Amino acid sequence: MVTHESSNNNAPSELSLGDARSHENATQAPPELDEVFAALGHPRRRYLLHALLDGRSEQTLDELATSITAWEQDEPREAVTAEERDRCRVALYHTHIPKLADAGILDYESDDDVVVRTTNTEQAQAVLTGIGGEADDAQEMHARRTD
Amino acid sequence: MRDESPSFGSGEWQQAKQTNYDPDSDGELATTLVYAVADVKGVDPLDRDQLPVLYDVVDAEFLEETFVASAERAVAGEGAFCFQYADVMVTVERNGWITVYDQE
Repeated sequence: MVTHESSNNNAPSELSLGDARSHENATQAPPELDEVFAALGHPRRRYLLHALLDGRSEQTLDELATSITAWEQDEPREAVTAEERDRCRVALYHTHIPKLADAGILDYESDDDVVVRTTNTEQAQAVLTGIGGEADDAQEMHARRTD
Repeated sequence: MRDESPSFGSGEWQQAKQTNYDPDSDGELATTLVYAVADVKGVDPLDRDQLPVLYDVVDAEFLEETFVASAERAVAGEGAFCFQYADVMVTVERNGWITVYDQE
């Protein structure tokens, strides 16, 4: 889980950083637990981290927005309209990704328009699954639909 | 609705768009704000050059959760939050009215 030890042997091996905001975070010690919980304090940021669990090192913003919208609406990815995807994409780009990048949990590379994992991504995901994130997300999904 | 032109700092600001945000049905405030500003500027809401990262200017999630009245949280009294973003001025009122002003 999350430790506050600062070790220098977690030097990132293949982080190519396109976004100035994340340069420092990516090489810093693991984020404080408060920061992790704040970063996970919105269902879309938790969905985002779930989407990054699939093993790929990076995903485009459009791919992520499509996945998240499909989960929120409990429908297949193919059913997500361009308008729905774009509205989600705007929220990711203007709020959720900067917050996660500030916490050092992921990076956004504007040149390729992709979200990439950092050394801290796995820790945040461990916290997420450790507190029952997946069951929680299913409930959130249904709660949102009955609004 | 109101049509007077308030003064923000030294600029001459003209009301360009007004829309109501309902936190219970309109999704995220950040999305509504960016789409409203994009409309006033006549650009694509996905345009990253014309619409820099909103979070660098304001935490819209904070406004959505603590400032704007919703079904869950009635707010006593009035209030408005005002910020400049992407060369326009934006106000968010507690009752959900969003107004975008631009300069001629």
